[in-house]
Amino acid sequence: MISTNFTGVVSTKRLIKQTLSMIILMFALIGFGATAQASIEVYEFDNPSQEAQYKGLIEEFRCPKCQNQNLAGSDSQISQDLKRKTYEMVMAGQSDAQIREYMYERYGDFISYKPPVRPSTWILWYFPPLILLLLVAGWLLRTKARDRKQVTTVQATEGTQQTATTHNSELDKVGANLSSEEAQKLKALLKEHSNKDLSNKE
Amino acid sequence: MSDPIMSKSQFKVWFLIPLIVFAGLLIMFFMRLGKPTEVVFDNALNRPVPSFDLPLLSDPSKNMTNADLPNTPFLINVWGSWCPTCIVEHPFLMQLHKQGVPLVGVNYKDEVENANGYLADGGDPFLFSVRDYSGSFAIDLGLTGAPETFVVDSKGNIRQHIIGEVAEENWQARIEPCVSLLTELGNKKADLDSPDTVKSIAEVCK
Repeated sequence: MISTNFTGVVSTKRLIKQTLSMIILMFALIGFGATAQASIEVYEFDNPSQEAQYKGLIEEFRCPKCQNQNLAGSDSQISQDLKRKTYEMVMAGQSDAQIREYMYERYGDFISYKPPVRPSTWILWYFPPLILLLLVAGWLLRTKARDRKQVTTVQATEGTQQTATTHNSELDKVGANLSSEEAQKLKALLKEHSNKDLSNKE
Repeated sequence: MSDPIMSKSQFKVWFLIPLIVFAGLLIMFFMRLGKPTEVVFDNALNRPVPSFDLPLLSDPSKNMTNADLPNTPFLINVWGSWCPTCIVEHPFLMQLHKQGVPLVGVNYKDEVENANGYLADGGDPFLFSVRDYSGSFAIDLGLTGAPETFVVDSKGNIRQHIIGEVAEENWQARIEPCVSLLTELGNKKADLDSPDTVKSIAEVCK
């Protein structure tokens, strides 16, 4: 009894000790992380809009060395330099467009994740909306044409519902100006489709 | 698709489209397998060397400008004593120096003592080196990292951009043909800006 209690106390003490050391280590790591963070970027801005401009731009520009990262996410030499350059240009009161132009001039359009609108990039910017417009237009035209066709078929079916004989005589009249073979084919087709529409309706 | 006039064969063609698109993509992706995925930044090409006014490494009191560059085709090599690949390529640069290839060094983001110590240890293959401590000249060159090498023609236009080290292999295959063509054109005093010449240079100086 006593011995088990004793070991229990010991293990609790050990647990507390371990937890304490863990907590100390954690704080030490947090402190270390904070200082490491602080040593990377210490840019000061005159106003929040400059900071927002800077942050927006380094999000937008690509790191030339590590090509699937942006400047904001990269810590390579060239990224640090380009970030500093961006900061300097922001502080000098240059506009987004001017800073972008500076980067395009030296590194080409690929430096930005947001390509500029130029004749060479028109296809990139305007092709998707254009094809969307074309598709919507095509779809509209198609549905309109189909609606018109449906109206005529419905009229024909109404006729069939009233009297089968009228419908038959109507069918006889259709294709009077065709050869007998063609007329038969047409009749067969019309019959098939009017029946289908009927069954769909019911 | 409820168009009653549309025949069955037309339906089949429509259904085939996704398959055709898929096959096309498959071919496209297959062709790119194993090819380099890095995009090469070559905006510096076919333009004059960006203007610079930088201190000389061997004598920081003296500044060098574009006017001090050689009149013959030469290589600009961006290096730093901190850069491991530069150390790897250095012996080959010494070899080129012995062959008489003009090299201009850009000491990139380096400390003077370290840079001079590096050249004292491994030899100095450069006609001269300028000090780009801030890295701003490198940005004007469109640098992505060290080492990088630029081939410049006799009129001071950049014609080739080599990312990474220069070694026997790419010297023989890529760089030497470019340098010898530029030398030949320089000797003939050819018009380097005429579209035909630019095209033939671009073909060789890939």
